[in-house]
Amino acid sequence: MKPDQTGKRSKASGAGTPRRSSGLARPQTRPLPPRSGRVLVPISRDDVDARLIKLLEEADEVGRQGAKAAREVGMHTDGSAPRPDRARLLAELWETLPPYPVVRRPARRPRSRGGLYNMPSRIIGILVGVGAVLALLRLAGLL
Amino acid sequence: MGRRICSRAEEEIRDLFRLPGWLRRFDKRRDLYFDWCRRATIELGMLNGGTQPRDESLVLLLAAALSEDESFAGHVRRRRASFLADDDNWSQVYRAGGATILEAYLDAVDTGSWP
Repeated sequence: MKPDQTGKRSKASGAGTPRRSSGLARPQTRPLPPRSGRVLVPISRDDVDARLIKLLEEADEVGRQGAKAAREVGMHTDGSAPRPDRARLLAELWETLPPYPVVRRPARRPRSRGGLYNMPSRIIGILVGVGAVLALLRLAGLL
Repeated sequence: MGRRICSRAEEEIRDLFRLPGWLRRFDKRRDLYFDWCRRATIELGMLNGGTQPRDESLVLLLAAALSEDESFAGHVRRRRASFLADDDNWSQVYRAGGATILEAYLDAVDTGSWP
C-alpha cells in the first residue's frame, strides 16, 4: 500500500520532500533537483485521484467515439457488455504509479524589487565603506 | 518485432477473440485509440515527473476505453459467448484488448507508420 501524501513542503529540506507527520514513520526521499528551470513537486493523493478520474472519463469518451465511428460504417455494435468497476480501476491505476507522484512546475524566480536591491551586496558594501571613510575624513577636517 | 506487452494469458485471449483483426478493421477507430495512447502517455508521464509511464497504466486506460466501446463488445460477443457468460472474464478481455492496442501502437511508432 502506498503512503498518503500531504503535498506540502518540509521546512528543513525544501521542495520534493513530503512533510513528515508525527507517529507513523515514512520513507525519506531526497529533494528532487530542478531540471531546466522546472521543479518536481509532490502532489497529494487527492490531486492524483482527480487527475486519474479525469483520465478515465477521457478514456470513456474515446470508447464512445470508437463505437460511434463503427456505427457510421454500419458495423454491428452490442451495448450490453458489463463495465469494469471504476473504483477498482482507479485503485489499480494508482498502484501503477510511482510511490511519490510528482508534477513538473516552473521554478519560482525571486520577485525583482528593482534599483538598489538588485545590486550585488559586495558593491553596496564597498560604496558604504568609501562613504564612511569620506565622512570621517570630513569630520577630521582633512577634506 | 515490437515491444511485447501482452502476458501469456492475454496472448491467448487476443488470439481467441482475434483482437488484432478488430483493431485493423478500419483506420478511423484505430487512429482514435492510437491518439489516446499518445495522450495518455503524456498525461501519465506528467504524474511520473516527465518520465515514461508504465505499460500497465496505459493498458488499464485502454481497457477503460474499450469497456465503453460497443463495437468491441459486439466483436468479442460473436466469438466465445460461453467464456463471456462470466462477467469477471470481461475484464480480462478488456485488458487483453488494451495490451493488443498498446503493442500495435508502439510497433507503429517504432516503424514510423504512425502518426
